[in-house]
Amino acid sequence: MHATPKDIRDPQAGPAPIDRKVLDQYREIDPSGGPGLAHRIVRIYIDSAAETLRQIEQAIAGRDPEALRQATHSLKSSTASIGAMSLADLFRELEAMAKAARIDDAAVVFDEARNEYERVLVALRDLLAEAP
Amino acid sequence: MNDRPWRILVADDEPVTRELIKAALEKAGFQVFLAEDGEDALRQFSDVPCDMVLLDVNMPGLNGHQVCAHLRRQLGEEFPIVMVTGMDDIDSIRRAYDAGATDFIVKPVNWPLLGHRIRYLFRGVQVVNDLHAANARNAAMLQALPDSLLRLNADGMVLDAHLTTGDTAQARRPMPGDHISGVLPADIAHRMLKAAELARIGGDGLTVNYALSRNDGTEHHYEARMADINGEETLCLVRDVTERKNAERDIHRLAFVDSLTGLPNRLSFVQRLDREIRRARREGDRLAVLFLDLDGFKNINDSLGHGIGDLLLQRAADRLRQGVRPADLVARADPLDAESNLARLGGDEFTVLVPSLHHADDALGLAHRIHDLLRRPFILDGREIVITASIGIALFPDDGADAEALLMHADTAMYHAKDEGRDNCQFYRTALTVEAIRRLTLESSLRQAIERGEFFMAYQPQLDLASGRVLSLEALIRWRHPERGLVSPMEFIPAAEESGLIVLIGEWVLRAACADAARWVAAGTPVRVAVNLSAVQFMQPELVRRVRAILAETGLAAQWLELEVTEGVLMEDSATTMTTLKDLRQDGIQIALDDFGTGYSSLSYLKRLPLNRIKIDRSFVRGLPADKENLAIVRTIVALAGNLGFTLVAEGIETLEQARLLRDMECEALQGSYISAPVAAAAIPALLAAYWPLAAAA
Repeated sequence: MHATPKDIRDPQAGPAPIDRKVLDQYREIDPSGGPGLAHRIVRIYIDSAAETLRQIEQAIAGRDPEALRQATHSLKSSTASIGAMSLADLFRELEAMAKAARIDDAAVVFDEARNEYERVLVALRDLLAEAP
Repeated sequence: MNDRPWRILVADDEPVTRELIKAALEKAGFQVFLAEDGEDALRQFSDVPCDMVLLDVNMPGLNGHQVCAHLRRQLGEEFPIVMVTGMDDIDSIRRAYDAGATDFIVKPVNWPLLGHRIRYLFRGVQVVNDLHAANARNAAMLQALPDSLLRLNADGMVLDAHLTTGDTAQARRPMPGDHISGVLPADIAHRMLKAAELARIGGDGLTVNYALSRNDGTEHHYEARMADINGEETLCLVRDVTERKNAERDIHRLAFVDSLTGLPNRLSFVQRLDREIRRARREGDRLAVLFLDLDGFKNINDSLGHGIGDLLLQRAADRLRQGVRPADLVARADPLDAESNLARLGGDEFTVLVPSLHHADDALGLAHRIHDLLRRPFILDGREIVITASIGIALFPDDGADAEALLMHADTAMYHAKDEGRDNCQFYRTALTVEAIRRLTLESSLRQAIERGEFFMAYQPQLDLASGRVLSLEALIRWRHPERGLVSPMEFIPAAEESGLIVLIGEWVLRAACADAARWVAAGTPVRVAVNLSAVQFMQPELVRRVRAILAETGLAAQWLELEVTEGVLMEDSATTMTTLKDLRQDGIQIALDDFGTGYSSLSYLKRLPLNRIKIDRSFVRGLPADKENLAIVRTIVALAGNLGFTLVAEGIETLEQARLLRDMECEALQGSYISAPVAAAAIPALLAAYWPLAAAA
């Protein structure tokens, strides 16, 4: 089963890639109550996500459902943690496909996830660029 | 652990989540260590032990479940391990518990709440830990306590029981579900429940002491204490206090018992003497204290050594125990009680208490018995030792009003005995010694008199006024003492009565008189013999049987025997008196009332007695006919006897005038020196043959 063209989203269009409320809640557990923790989290995400994304790509290319599951599971969780809910939903979808060993379907969704990831990265960099 | 923040090891392969958990927990005040996977977690934990571990389930390599199972095995059940797992992953949660997780946290994590959540978890852990520690302390305490412990409900049912090992006193060891009355004797259970009830309402007296016999037969003492738990349940601590009781007993022994002889010591004796003095004062009783000192004991100690000396004291104490044994002295006392009348004051000084003293001689008798017992040689260490004792006696209330005075005076009397040449006994009052010795001597002489045949009979004729002949004789005992010659009955009869020898002597008299009478009857000069019965004899339950036996033995027909009893004997208005008299009369034996007029018998009582004869006492005849008062009394007695249907015998007739006067008053018979003094049996036949013209002289 292949995704229809209308499912492919333009990285510049659609709803906001990041729910700022998710990141705002980290002020409550920030040692000084500011955005410092949120920014640190975002940086960690930016640093680590690229690697995980590559693992997903390899897993699909290597048709390895378990490696795919492990990587998507991990990324799903951290993606949700930075408030990128749409992207997190895509990773959840990918995880379910990995469990079901639907590698071809996963390849289609992964393309979509990569687009959304780009949008998220832009949004995250914008966020970091804001005054701390 | 309270000085430093709680340490938490967090294992998650995913860096964002890891960082968030760290931030959230540090915000809540915990110290956080981070591990990137399962192996890392185990490694770090062995380096720095933490108070809690948070594990992500999904980790490459060892997953969370595996790490959890590993740590659980290593750290025991109470260590808190928390799994972090997806909200939707129910299967993972189930497996977390199987692996031994304490709790779980679901993703997405509510970050602001995470710290609170973990704090709650720690609090729970702490409560559990505290509980375990408390339980361990309690268990250790129970282990260390010498008490058995029962928890009882309000009805007295055992809820749980912690029992000291080896306690087999109870017939059944109490188990939960038992009622206390099922495992303890009824009276003890009752007292326990009473105390438990008091404890529940906050009362006093919550200790119950009781004794139980163990299966091995030994008696154990227990002390049960009650404490209220919550107004419903009671905690009952039972302690075996046998050792304490034994110690108390030992202390008591040390304080009150002489360790060498086992006899009561001075303190004990003085206390007992005080008690007995109070009792004697209350009851108007007398008592005696004997103070005994072994003669020449110091020489034995010095020459043969203290070992022999101590042995001698122990053996002497044993002889003293024999001396006061109740079978010999006071029948009502039990042996232990009798021994408590003894004491060793110290050294070679002993004391003996004689409670309820009847006569001063009783104390002397005991002293003599002790002398006799001690005089037998002691064989000590193969050596024969003879020892005597000097004994002093003080009497209450005569010689002192309190224990101190009595002991002091008995001691003084003892020194007097030493002065008198040792091996003797002295009263504190010298006169008493003399008197008591005389009576004791008299007693032992009387005893010997029976054996040696020193008694003999005399008879005083009674003149029958109708016939002018002697038809009856009063039998009188005489004692010829080998040294003192004739001893007056006035002297020895009272002594015989007090010592109880009167029974033996009376029987001897009865037998002798019956034998004589039988001889005279057989010789064709029948005569009645009148034998006096003392009160003691009359009270003997076997009197009637004894009289019948003697009549049979001597071959005398009952009609020739008359028994004279005094008013005093008959005063006891009892069924026994009446039965005895009736039985004797039934047999044909005559009964005379002696010394009539000297007692206080009621006429209605007299009238019911089965008497044949009344004897007018000599005191009323004396001075007749001039003594108008006596004359009036005699006339009254004569009239009375006539009315009651008794015949009369007048005693103490000394003159012809008196004889005539009483004859004219219609007295049946006369007795007295005017007729004849008492004479020996040999002189009787002649008197029986004689004829007194007095009857015709009117």
